Amino acid sequence: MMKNLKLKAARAALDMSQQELADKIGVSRQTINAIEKGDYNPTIKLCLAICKELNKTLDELFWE
Amino acid sequence: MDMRNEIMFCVGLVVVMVIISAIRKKYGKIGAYDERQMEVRLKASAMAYKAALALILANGFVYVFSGKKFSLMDPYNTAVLCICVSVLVFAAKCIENDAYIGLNINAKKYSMLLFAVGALNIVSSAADKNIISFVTNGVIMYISPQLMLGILFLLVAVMITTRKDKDGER
Repeated sequence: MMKNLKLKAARAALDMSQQELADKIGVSRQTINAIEKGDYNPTIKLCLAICKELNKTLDELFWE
Repeated sequence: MDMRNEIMFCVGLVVVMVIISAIRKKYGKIGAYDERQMEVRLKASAMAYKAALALILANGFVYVFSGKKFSLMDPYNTAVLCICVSVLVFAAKCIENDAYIGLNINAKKYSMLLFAVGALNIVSSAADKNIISFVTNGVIMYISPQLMLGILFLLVAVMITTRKDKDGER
């Protein structure tokens, strides 16, 4: 699986740490890290939660 | 009739229930995991089941292929050991992937609790007259269950405390 650099960039643009994003959407920091590294394929539910928190669309963050 | 073991079992059960309810009161639901953690835990459960099965089969094979003259352990010890090994396999897999401790649980405090429970079990096993007894044909006839559980808790606590966050935030 490819690294999700778009997610990392969107998070960094809001000056948000992995832990802060994780706390806001109710997952562990390691889960955010795994998604960014491409080690874990999140469900649509989690993708939507991330998009809402980062003010982005699904296309912007998860479409290759 | 000596009912010491049964009484100790009940006391242990009550202590565990009190500890769990205290943790729940302070931190909320213990088993709060995210979707990645749930997936890891599911895989770990399958691994633990296979480990337990392998241990039972190994004991059975040794018994059958030795012409029913030799077995590694008696059925009771095999059952207790199987539980301990499968829990250990489950914990190892989950700890490796950060899926053992719930989202709202403090890992340090949790491992300290496990250390305490492990130490308590090992200390209480010393009261057992025959901690380990090897009898004829090399069969392990008895290992104190408290000793096995104590070692299990200590190993899990050590795994939690020594695990390094290999992919820390960058």
